[in-house]
Formats: sequence, structure tokens, C-alpha cells
Amino acid sequence: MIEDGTLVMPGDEIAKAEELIAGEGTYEENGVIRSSIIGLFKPDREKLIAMVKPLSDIPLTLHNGDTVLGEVKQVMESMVMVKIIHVAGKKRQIAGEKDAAIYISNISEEFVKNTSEKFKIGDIIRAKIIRTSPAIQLSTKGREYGVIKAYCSTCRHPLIMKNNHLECPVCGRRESRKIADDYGKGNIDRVI
Amino acid sequence: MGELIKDGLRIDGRKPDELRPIKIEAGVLYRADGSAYVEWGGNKVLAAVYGPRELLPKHMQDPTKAVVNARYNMASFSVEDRKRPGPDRRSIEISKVTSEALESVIFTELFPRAVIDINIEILDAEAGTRCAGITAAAVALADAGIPMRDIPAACAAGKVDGQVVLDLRKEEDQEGEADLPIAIAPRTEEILLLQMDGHLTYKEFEEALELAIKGSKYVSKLQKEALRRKYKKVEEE
Repeated sequence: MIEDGTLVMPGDEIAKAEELIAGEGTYEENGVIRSSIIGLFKPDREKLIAMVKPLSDIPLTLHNGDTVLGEVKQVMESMVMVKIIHVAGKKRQIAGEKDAAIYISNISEEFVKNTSEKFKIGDIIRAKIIRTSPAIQLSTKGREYGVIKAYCSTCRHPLIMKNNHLECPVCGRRESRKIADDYGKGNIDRVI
Repeated sequence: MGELIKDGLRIDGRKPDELRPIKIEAGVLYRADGSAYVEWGGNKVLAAVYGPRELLPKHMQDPTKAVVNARYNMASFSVEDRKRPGPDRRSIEISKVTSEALESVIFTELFPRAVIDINIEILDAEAGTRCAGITAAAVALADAGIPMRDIPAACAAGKVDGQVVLDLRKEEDQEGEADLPIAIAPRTEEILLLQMDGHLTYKEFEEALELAIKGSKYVSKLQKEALRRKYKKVEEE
């Protein structure tokens, strides 16, 4: 086994399969554990798992607790379908599945009678990932989460915030949403 | 005949088993997920990696693994006479074999439905661009943190004036008898790409292959040095 904290490259031998179990950033081949990325060898000594802590930027996958931005694709009676378009604070594009759902019970802390009063197709929302398997589920509970940009449902013009109300500057229509506390500010990379 | 090798030395003064000077730099582009720049003799090659990311149109997706999509492109000013821009028969073929060579070391099964885009841009060409391209792309993939079994390396061997030599330069490529570019996974010596142009006897082929593997292993060392240079700095921060 090599020393902890050694800089390893893809293919470099880390340990024998008898010593550790292949974990993140490693793979096992013919009884030998090797690194699959550039990083520092940081094994979990208690659970005997070989791990490589990446030094380079790694492919972006979604995890529980991540703050994400998404576009509302479909509003149904008991849930809202969202396509995740960005992970707050990350530069890279998402590597895996991007379709997610918000159940009516996860929209807000208050009772929600109608999903369509909270979200409409085309809205850009900020949400938190609460589950990634078998399907991605989001939550917009909390004042930081919710719609950060919405469009008028009759004329599609972006809605603006006026006296705590969303209003269309073109047709004057008023709409209701589950809005985030920084609606319209464009804080894309705000991590909560 | 007889003018390409004089007194055991080639026209640029190299020995038969000597490579041209190679310079590799990792992480040169800001917007790319991973990138590398390679100068190999008179070749100047830039490689950029994007992804894994969603593959569109959706019918191109593979639900079991990621698609590796390399694109080899020569700049119009990379050769003496202006090259007509855009893909042609030659660059489409090189893109295909490069994609397949790199795909065999990437753990594509970790990213179903995704695509890994690799753009190889030949800014200046002087024989052996596909090897320089694969070498650059391999460093860019490692720089992008894409899990791989090994960092592939490439090098060519050939036959000039009846003698097997390593890493042909332009005149040798044009007037020589054979060119044998290969790409390998240096740790296992597994061959990822092997093409041949010209004629070699079986014995010459064996000799050329052995020489090209030796060359690729040296290239591999330079690749790792380049990556180590970049990530030693990252580690210290």
C-alpha cells in the first residue's frame, strides 16, 4: 500500500485488494486497487475503504442537499415536474439525470391546495434536492427557495415584484407564486 | 533514396530511435472542463474536454453508458497550402479512431445517457498530428477528472531509407516507405489504436511496433509530468 496523501494518477496502484475495498475515485482490477482520477490517496482507515480525494474538477453529479436551479416543465394536480439546469456554485454541466419532481407536500411549509397557485410552466425556481434515487425529488420549503423568475401566463412577459405582488408590466395581470426571498435578483449561484 | 539518413543520423540530426522535442501543458482553457496543449516537433495541438453532459438529440443517447465523441479538426492555416476548413474524409476517420481509442480507457458506464465531447484542434501540422492529438486529449481527459483506467499515450514509428525509425517528421512521412501510428494504455501496453500506411515486412513491423511502444511510454512520462506540474500547484493552495 502507498502512503496516505500521495498524489496519484489514473491507473496508479494504490493497494492490494486484500488490504482495502475500492471506494470513490478508485477501481479494482486483477486483485489490485488503482486510482481512476488525479488526486490524493485518502483512505478510510476504519471502514478500510480506499478513496482518492480529487485535485481536479470532477464530473458534476447531483447529491442530497444540493441547491439547484430548474425550469418548471409541467404542473400536475399533486406534483410539479422540473428540469434541473444548474447547480448553485458550480461551473460544470450536470452529468446524469436532470428530470425531477416536487410533490405538493414539499412545495411549502403551509398547506397548499392547488399546485398551479404556486408554480407555472416556464418558471425558473431554486430548490433543494431531498432524494436522488430512484428518481430525483426536490423541495422548495423555506423562504430562500421558490420561484426566482416567473412569466405572465397570458402574455409571457417576465413578472416583476410590486408591493409584495407579482405583476405583469405589460398587461397588468397579477399572479401568485411560491416565491424565493430574492425574486428577480438573478442570484444564480447562491448556495443555501 | 539515401538522402533521409546520413551516417546513421536523420535530416534533423536525430538518432533512429529518438523523438522530436515534446512540450505538454495541462489546463490551458478556462471555459473547458479539461484541456491540454501539446507541442510535438512542428505540431501544435490544443485539446478541450466538455462533459459528461446530456447528449442531444436524445435518440443518440446510450442508456447503458456515455458516448465518447472526439472531433479532430485541422485549422485552415495549419498546413502550407490553405486547408479547406471543416471535416473531410481524413479528419472524419481520425475522429472516429480517436474516439474509440479514448473510449476504451474511460469508465463510460458511470455516466449513462451522457456524452463526453473532446475537441482536438490542430493549429500547426508537421506529421504525426493524430498521435499528438490523442496525447493532448488524454491529458485533457485526466484534467477534466473523468475516471479512467489509464492515461493513453500515442506515438508513431515508420520506415525511412530501409530503416525502422521512431516518430517521423514531415519529409520522412512523405518520402519514407511506411508510417505506423499507435496509441497504447502504457501500464498494460494494451493497443488502443494501430494504423499503417505503406509497407513493412513482418519482422520490420514487429520492430516498428516495439519502437512505437517505447516512444509512447516516454510520451506517457511527459504527460504525467505535465499533470503533476499543474496539480502540485493545486495541492499547495
